[in-house]
Amino acid sequence: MSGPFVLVADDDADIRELVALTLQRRGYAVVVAADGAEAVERARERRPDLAILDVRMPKLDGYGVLSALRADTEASYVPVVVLTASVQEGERARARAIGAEVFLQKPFDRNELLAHVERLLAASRGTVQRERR
Amino acid sequence: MIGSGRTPPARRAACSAMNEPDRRSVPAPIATTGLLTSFCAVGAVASLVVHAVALLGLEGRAGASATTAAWTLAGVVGVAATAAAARRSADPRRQRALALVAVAIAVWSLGAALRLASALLDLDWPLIAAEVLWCGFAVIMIAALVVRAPAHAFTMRLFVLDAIPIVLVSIQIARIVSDTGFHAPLPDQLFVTAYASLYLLLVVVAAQLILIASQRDLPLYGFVAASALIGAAGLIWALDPRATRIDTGDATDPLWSVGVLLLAAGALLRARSPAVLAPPEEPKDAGFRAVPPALALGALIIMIEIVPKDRFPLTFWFTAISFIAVAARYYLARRDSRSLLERESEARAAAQMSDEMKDEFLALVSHELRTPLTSIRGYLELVLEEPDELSEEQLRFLRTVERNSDRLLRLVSDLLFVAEIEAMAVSIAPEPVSVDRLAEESVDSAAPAAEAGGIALVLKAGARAEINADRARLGQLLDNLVSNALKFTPAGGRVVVKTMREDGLAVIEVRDTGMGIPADEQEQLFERFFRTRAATERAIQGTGLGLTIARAIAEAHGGRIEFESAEGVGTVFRVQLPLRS
Repeated sequence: MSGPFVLVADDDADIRELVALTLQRRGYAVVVAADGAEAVERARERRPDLAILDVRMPKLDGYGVLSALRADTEASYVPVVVLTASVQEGERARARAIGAEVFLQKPFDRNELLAHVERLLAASRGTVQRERR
Repeated sequence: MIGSGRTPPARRAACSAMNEPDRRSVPAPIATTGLLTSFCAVGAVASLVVHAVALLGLEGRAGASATTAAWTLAGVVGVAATAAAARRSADPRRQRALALVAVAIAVWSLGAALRLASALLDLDWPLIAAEVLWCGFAVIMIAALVVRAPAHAFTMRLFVLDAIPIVLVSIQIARIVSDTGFHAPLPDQLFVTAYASLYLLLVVVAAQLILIASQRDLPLYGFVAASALIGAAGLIWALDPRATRIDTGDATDPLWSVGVLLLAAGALLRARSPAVLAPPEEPKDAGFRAVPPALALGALIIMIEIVPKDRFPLTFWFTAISFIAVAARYYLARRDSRSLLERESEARAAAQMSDEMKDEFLALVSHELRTPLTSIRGYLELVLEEPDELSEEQLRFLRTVERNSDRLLRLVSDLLFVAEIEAMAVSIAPEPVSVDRLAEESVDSAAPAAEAGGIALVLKAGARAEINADRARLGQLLDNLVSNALKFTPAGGRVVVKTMREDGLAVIEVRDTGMGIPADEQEQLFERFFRTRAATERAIQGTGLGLTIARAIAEAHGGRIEFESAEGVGTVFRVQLPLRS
């Protein structure tokens, strides 16, 4: 069985590939989406273990995707990393309020991203196990 | 290197650069002022003594002579003090006004001297000349007050409208007086009218100036009271038939004396008052200042009631014209001040809108720059992850790309931060931070650059204190200072980062043995985008934003940043931050 399954949504193809490559090199299975609507669709097809979402995306922005995930009983526990180039004040607070676990600014530090991903996956595994018991 | 044990020339240079403007504007008139005060006191006391003696029976003419001599003396004092005040003043508008007051006092004193001549030589013409000069005094004083007033308070239009009821009421007074026993020839009647209206106008203008809050000050009150007294005395004097005027002068002398005393006192107060610029004048409802001419109108209306209509048929028309003038004045002043306020609020709204647009623009630009930078850096990292697959040269090239993408990212962040500073929206997230740790981190991260430049980078951490600070921002501040010190210090030099506690403050010093900052560039050092000539000439990398940012960070923490520098010796930057309580 392959490693944890991560959804990566970003409208910038280069960044999408960059994040996917970074994760794949660490043994994660990755599915990508080029906009918010596609991201929601991919998440419905197969519930990801973690989602990395850009904020500014066509059709549905990252916050929209996040809300959709949280509203879905299946995916409501999926940990989310918000990754944005936006520097507007209040962005971080907004991401937190909607329920993002981590807020990272682009350009991101690869090791920092990987550390967060690992930590979140470990924590969510714990949660899922507790739920099962 | 600048030793802390002695006073370096740089410190003196910095101090004098800061204090010079103040010192220049304070010549030396305190001693002179003292001298002038005693002169003024002597003159005034002398004239009052003469009055007392005159009351005891000194012959009229001799008394008048002595009094006039005293006035002339007080007048000279007034001129000297006003001229001194004008020289001292930093505000060109106030300077012009004071120069005019000096001229006015000189003209008045010349009139007093002419009256003396008239009394001594028993001639008539010097007296007439004196009367003309005293009218001139009022005119020049009015000019001085108008010059001093803020631009929106007096326009020629308002001024003419003010003058109409005042001149009319003065004419009416003169006509009534001449009808009730003052059978003077026409020139005398004209003189009385001119005298009364000019001095009333002077008092009205001064009263209006006082109604503007920021113009209220003691010297101005002195000038106004003096003008009123001199005007009243002059009016009584002028109403008297010419032949007996010298004797009437004796009766009005105390009024004149007190007036002149106030004039000189006002001038002296002005000369002593600190040469501070008046605070920005707030536009007030200018309509309010129509009160004095309205009072003149009231006087005319009363006159309609008490004056026999058959002998003074013009009274009604005078009143009607005055009424129109006052109403027009009130209306215009209201409209002017309202449009002034409207223009201000419009300008504010426009500024706010452009601020919002700027914020949006910056956010967009920064977002659009960060996105490609993310890819550049990210893929670079992916490539550099396996350096073995690269040739030596390729690796070096890619490191250059990496360094420059770092630089570009820093520039984007700095620009954004400067925009925050401009919007006064610097936000910090304070947490307890160890000053020593912070300095250590900064020194550690700068160590490779110092080594590459052949500079000894030394840490002397001795604060052992915590402050409430935004770790990232304060780190940025220190990094900026340390990287500056390294950039401007030649190989073989030394950069010392020192932390300590001083007077309840945490102090971080970054001291270098670099090229120093020329005195003429020190003042602009914290301005954004400012770069020293040396930095530009030697092509030392930088944007001129580092110190702007450093200062904003220090201030956002309730601290401050200062520096001392001497060319060819070195520079020390010192950051003071409040300790955690």
